[in-house]
Amino acid sequence: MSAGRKNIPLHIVPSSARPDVDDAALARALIAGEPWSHAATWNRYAPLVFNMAWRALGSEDEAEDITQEVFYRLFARVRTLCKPESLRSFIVSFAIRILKWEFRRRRAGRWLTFFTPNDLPDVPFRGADPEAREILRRFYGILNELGTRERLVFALRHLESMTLGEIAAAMEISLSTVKRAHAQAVVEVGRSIASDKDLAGFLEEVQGRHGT
Amino acid sequence: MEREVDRGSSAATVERMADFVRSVIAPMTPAQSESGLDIVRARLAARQRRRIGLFRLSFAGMGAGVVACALWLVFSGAKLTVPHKASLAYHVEGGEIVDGGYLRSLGGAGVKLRFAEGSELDFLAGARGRLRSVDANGARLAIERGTASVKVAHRPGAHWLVDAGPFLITVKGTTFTVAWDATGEQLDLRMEQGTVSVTGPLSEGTITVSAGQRLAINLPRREVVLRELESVEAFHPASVPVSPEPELGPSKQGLDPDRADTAREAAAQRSGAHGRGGVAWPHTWPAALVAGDTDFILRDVERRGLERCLAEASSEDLSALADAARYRRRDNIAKQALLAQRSRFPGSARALDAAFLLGRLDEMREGGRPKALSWYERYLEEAPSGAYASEALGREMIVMQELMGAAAARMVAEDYLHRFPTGTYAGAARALRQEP
Repeated sequence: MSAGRKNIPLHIVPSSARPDVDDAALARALIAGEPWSHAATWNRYAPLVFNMAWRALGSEDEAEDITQEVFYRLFARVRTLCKPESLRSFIVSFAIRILKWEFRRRRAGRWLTFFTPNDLPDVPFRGADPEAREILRRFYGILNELGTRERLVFALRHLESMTLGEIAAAMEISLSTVKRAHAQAVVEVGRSIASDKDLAGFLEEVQGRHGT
Repeated sequence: MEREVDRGSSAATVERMADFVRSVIAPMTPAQSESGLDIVRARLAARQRRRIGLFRLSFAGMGAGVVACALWLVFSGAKLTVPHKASLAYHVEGGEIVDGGYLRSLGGAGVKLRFAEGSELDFLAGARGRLRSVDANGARLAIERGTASVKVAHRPGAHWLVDAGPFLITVKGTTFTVAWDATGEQLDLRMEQGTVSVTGPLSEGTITVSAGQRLAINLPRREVVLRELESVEAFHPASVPVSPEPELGPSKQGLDPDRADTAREAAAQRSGAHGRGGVAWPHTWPAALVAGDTDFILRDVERRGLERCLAEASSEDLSALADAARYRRRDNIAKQALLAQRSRFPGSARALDAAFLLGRLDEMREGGRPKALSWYERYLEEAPSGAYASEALGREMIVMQELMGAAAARMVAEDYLHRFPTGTYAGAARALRQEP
């Protein structure tokens, strides 16, 4: 019995992380294998990763999967974290790496599925009204046309509000490469939106609503 | 100048769109947070178990080596007077034992371990497990995933242990089928003969399961259900009404030829016509598959009607049917069984695996490669860490290269090397990456 009980998977989620613990202490606890550290790290950073993945991918379900993948890899490899105080950037870089892989995989898959304009990916957004869902569906259809690097840079810059320098550091590429990818992505997305009358009209309407 | 204006207006448009996207993204719900952490923990626990198992095995191996050397040094040249009780002899059918005691199927139809004293263990197709230890009184086996049929010969002093996930089944002399779903953390134990005791999570003590009973444990739901095996009304593919005497043919029973044929076969199996005299042989499709009796399954399907089977068979039976049909090259039936698996049991491990197997079927069909690629892609989306992930990504790369050329496949090759640097297709991926 005792042999079997050693492997009991617990399903307990603490109500909150330890608010008094800073990132460095949390990372050290993770490395030391403190029992509370997984839940604390998850509670602190899973929402960040989830939102980042959802905005980048346009899919809530996939965002959940990506979040789990990020934290599974993080917990399994946390001993490779050299600077405990950089826990946040460590997690973000994990997330970016996995998102990059996901985008690449999608692009590879698109060679096969041959989306037509009427067959754009569905974007089921919780709580969004039908019109908003349609707008998002079109928008993510446009993003799907970008290259992996351009899409990731675009998402991090415009949907996550990261600076170009932060993006370069997180993606481990040069700032000039980030700038090029960003400029290309902005022009391509802007042109595509402008050529989509419904999308452009919607944005004008939104702008008008806000009285600007 | 025009380019700058273009960039400026694009930036403004993009910012408005980004603002809108940010405004409609809802935060992570508490339910998503709780279930997400649960899943991550379960995966980590499974990983830990694998590592501990391997560590223990290697440690035990080292220890055994040291002891063996010491014994050799002490007793070399002298005759041992201590009576030595030899471990049970066994052999492997349909596969081999690799490092760590893992059983690897060579034909895809599962692996059978046959012990000298009459005990047998059949890992059904898709199951993964290993032989942890063998001694004079029995053996310890571990089922990490899938279904195994176990028959332990009754004899004094017999001591057999079966690990199914976190559960430990202690066996004396009996016949049963046990399945462990590592993804859903569910144990399903069906007793045919004898009695076993089960220990593990959710039980304060030992659970005794006797002949004709079924124990189902669902860890995530914390459910433990012990009940009688399904009643006759329930769908039970091969439990056809048969005569106890195999020689009673259609003329005596008034059965149609197919039915009598099936009945004869089932009765013959029960009476030991396959060389297993005295032991009630499992008469389910999975058991028939393990026995290599794919024709029996296909005939049973024809007798009952394919549509009914597809609509009513359990997930395990559909899997056995799909395998049987694939092995017999009845691709149409295999395809329908796999599609039924996906539509009736969405999200289950077998439904995920079905996507990959559908890809394999399409890949072998003339003109089916584009469809196969879609299935591989779908499998990788649904089960990025699934049992067939490496295979699916590898096949995707190969088929893409054949259909669209090296340039298109190179991206997949990069992904493959990133995820499976030592995988079966790593060589092909490296070659592809180096192609101009």
